[in-house]
Amino acid sequence: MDTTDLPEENELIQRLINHDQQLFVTVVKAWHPSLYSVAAAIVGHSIADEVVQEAWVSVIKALPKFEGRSALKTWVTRIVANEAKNRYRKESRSVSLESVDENWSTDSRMVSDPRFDSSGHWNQRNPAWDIGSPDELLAAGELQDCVDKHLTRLPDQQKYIMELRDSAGMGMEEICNILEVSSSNARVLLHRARDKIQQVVAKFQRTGEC
Amino acid sequence: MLSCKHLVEQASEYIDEEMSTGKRVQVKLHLFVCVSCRRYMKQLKLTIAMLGRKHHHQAPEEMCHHLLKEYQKAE
Repeated sequence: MDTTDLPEENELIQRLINHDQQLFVTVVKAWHPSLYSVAAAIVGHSIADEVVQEAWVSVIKALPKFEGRSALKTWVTRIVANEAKNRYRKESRSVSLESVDENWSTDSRMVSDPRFDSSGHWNQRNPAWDIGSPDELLAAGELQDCVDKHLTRLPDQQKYIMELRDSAGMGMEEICNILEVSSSNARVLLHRARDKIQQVVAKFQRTGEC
Repeated sequence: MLSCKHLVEQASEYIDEEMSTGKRVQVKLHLFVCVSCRRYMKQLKLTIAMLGRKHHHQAPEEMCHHLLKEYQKAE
């Protein structure tokens, strides 16, 4: 179920307040990938589903009082983020928000990036890829196994920011609020993660190896 | 002129349109003359699009049932 299949905002809110059960389940399913990303970014994957479920229970109770000062999905997302933060504070496990280091933006890897010479030019011409669409990339099984392997190896903070931005489609401001990181660090981390995956695909394209 | 390394470091800002007009012009000028960076930019966009379609975690059925019960109780 795609979010675009849902009714427009006012109708959506009214029908949910009026207990349209079928629509409720549809919304839970449609929004789950992004809500899950938010929860996982804060408490880790092991209890992310549980956190989203608890947040929905709060949403159900609060829905009749929803004032519409933000989009319904934004409101639900904030409830998920708050639930995840409370849970994190209670259990002090998994991802550490405190480990969000303000010095992240100092990127030693970028300073000595082997792709570039000392004057900052490419050492070798960057070869074109054979694959020209995201669907073709996704259909390449071995390549996806390789991407998955490298995704799991990314530092948590990089992975979570990339999940929130590129999978959940959230805005940077919202991401910074949820993860309590500065905007400049979030941008650096996001780019580092994307750049790493670009290099993984590039290497696979060039050599056929992961 | 902007180096290739600097362009690569700023590529996400460019793609996400979070860059000042001045910087954007510099990037565009560089891309106009540099095939490797043009390719990099295209490849990064493709990578981002691919990531956007990956790993969509679905809601567990059990959770949907539980939430539906909670929703019915609230009626």
